Amino acid sequence: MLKKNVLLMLLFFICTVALIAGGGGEKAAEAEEGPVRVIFYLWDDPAYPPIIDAFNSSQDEVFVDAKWVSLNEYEAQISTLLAGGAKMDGYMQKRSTDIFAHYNNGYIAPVDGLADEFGFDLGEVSDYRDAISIDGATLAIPFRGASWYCYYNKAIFEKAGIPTPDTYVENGEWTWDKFIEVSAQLKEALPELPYGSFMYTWGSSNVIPALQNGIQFIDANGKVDINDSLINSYLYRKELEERGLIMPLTETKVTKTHYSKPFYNGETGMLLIGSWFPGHMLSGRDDGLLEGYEWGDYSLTRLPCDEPAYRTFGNPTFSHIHSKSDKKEAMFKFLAWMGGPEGAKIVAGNGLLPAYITDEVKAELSRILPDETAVKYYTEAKTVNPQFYNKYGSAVESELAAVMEEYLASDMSVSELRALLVKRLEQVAKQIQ
Amino acid sequence: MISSKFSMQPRRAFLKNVIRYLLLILFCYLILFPLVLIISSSFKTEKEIFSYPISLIPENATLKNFRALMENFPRYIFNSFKITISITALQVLTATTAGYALAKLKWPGRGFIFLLYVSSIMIPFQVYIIPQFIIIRSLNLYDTHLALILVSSFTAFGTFLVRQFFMTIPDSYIEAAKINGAHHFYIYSKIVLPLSKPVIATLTILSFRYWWNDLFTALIYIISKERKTLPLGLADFVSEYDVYYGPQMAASLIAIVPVVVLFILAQKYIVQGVVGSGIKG
Amino acid sequence: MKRPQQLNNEINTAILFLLPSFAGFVLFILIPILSSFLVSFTNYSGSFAKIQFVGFRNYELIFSNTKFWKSIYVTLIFVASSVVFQLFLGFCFALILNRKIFGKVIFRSILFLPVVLSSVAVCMAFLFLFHPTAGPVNNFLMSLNLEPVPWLAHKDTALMSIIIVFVWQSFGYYMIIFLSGLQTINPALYEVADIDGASEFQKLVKVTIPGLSPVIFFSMIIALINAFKMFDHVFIMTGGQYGGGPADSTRVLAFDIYQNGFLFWQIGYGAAESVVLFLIILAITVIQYRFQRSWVSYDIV
Repeated sequence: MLKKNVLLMLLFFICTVALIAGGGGEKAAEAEEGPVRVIFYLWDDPAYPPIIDAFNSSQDEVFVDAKWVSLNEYEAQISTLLAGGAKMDGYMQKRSTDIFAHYNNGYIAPVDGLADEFGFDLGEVSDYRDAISIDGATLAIPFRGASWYCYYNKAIFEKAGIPTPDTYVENGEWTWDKFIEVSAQLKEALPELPYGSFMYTWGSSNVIPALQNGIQFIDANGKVDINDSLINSYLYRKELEERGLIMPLTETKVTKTHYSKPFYNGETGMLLIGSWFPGHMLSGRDDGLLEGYEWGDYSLTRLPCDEPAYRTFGNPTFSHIHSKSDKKEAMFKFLAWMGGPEGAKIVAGNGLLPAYITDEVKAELSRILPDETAVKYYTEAKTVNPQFYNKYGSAVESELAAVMEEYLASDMSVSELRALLVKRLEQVAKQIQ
Repeated sequence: MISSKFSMQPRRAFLKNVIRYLLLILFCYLILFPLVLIISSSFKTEKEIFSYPISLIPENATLKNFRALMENFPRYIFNSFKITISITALQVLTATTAGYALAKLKWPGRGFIFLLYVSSIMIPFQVYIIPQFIIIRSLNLYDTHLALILVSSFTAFGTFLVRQFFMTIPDSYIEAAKINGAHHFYIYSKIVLPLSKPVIATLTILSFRYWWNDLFTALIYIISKERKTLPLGLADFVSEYDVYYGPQMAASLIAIVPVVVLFILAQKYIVQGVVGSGIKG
Repeated sequence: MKRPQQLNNEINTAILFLLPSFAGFVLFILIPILSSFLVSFTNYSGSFAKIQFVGFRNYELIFSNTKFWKSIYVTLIFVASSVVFQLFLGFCFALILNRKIFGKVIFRSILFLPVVLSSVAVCMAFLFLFHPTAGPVNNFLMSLNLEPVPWLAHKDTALMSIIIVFVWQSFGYYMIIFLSGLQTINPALYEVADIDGASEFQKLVKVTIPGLSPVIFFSMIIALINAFKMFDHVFIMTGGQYGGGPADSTRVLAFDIYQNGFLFWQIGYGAAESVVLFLIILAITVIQYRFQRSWVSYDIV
């Protein structure tokens, strides 16, 4: 009797589970007519909806069903979605170095075949080839290019009576020491100015000199690879903070101050941030958030750089096709559009640097950039080092940020800093296989 | 001996009383201040929120913050209600049935199972969240409300409370019913449950409070905006673009109100629940 | 003795009654716990296809990792401080409210109120209060010519800030437990003590505390377990998925597990950490149970 009842119980249990599995599973089969509907995950950057809408309304073969995920938690949530086997045809990659982990886990479908089939010339985005391929297979279509710049508030510089950064760039003097000096000059001339310059909290924004130098941090074989450029990154930030020239890192993080806020408010003379910032400035202008200056009063130029030849850095933003998608062609059509000349125009029109540069794109860019200097530096040919570009990348970025916080809050000597960096990076190398 | 005590008492006793009242008032202030801040900030403009000294009554009271919430929050509130009520109902069901089996039925392994339940309270969710997530995924329940409801259907603490309560119902009632030919389900529903109104009320309220406020489970299992719950919506508020404190405070206010109302109405049961768990572990 | 038939019926009924609850327990709690244990011996990082058994490697990695030891350190400090403060405050206010106090019920309700509030809402309110430059608390300190405190912005004060919020939210719970416990102490014991000429302090130590000891014991267990599990506060107040406080100063183990598992995909590693967390909690609880004999008195009439 007992056994029989246990069996009954088990059966009942299994039935329930099966019912739930069936019920909670696939929705009804989609209609055959109408455009092919593809599910695409991306984060809720305000610049993106116009791109999706433009695509959907420009043709009726493919309809992109955009699934918006909160920007803040995107990295963790997309990981969960992918590991959870959520149904999707494609997704945008926020942390570009995750391409390695995702590829290893088999989530990404290579696009070479589809590119040939649809005649999409991957050569046009060959600048970013390295960033989107692993072992010769092209895994993504970039649609946003990458580069970081030094944005500055001309009105503030005029008030302080000192030359704007591009002057130093012209004279080949725009090094990091110069950057710190100019920050100090601004504060000296304008005591009520809260900050001479502003850098954000990301690991990348705090080790710019190292990224410009091109060291790998952990190379592809798992060996730690650092040099003085990394140490200098830490020294520079500390000097800026100690002299009160920049908002402290932890304060920025804790008060969740977005990099746009001090710049909008005219609280900082300079800002080092990426190529999407002109888009923010457009919003700032349209929403009336700029204080004490007009939109036309800002400009941009190169980052300060200690290297003999100018280097900037950045990873393109790209999207993948999910390996389990059964609508890969439709998905590819969208990605090719977004990454091609049509999409590039819209991307440019929204104040972002597209991956695909044509003359039309340049014309768009001139519309959305405030002056000639800005257009010149935004579109000049330059060497862009990819950031954190291997499977250790994500963890490395996070470790570097954590060490920065420690360093800033302590009296560590340079040799101690170096030892700490080596130790933390070695641990990452061991942990990630 | 007695006289010396009495002569000391009035002054010292008075002083001690003063200290007691001061402490009480101080701590009540410390508790109420953040809450009042939430309420008043909900109605202030962003600039006014940061002005110091803090004005309790906003000078330019505005409903702007609540309007900013109108886009998404009604949905979140609805989701939270839906999920919390479902979970609470389900938990009452599972806790009372399991409690009955553990308290009033005799069967081998009863003590062991009870111990298993109670010790599971000790295990932090981080220990089992990842495999649990994998199971949910295999059942194709990711990003559904059903996932949240199912994983919380079982409550170790609730079962414990109910079982303790059932133990206080005299066995003689059960025996009497059985002699009259009643089977257990009848006994459960017609005799034991009606007697258990207090513990059921307590359980309902504790469950509601816990799941209304839950962040972590929702964080793991819900992604799409339409399905978000209130705590997630709150946490989401810190967009990368700026921290808009006004709407955040308004949202916090909305999150707090239902439970506070529940608390005021049903204080007795909440306290009972807390107490019931505290005596003789 | 029951007849076999009756016994069988009881068991059948028991199974049916137990099923709804037990099914959920097995599927969503028990199996995951066991799997977590198993996964900790693999290198699972998102794909079942590539999963490999790696023995104790994750554990080796954990024990040689600075972040892990920092997490242990932070967790222990957090747990010890928050439990002590919660119980101490709960105890003090229980004593205070156990007398004829004007407005007793109101005071009691207010002090208990934070317990029912949403952690997220509370954390957000405190984020504002603790804002390093524009927050009311620092403004208040500055108006008294005191140095503003960096609160969550500095590694030396961040953990303290979280402890403050956590204790603020939970001491009322223990206050209520202690209050009801106090009411079970036989007043006659106090009278006897009075007759013996005991001072207030002696009465506290010799009558109140022993009388309350089972309740204190139970509260300690619950408070410790809850403190080890704390996650919401760190997550909300130190930056979400990239949190853990300035320089890992608020990186409790529960948070490290979340980050390793859900942000960096090191699921095997995260599982190993969670096993360690569980063992720590288990050890502490068992030790407490063993020690209770020496100080907890259950039979005071």
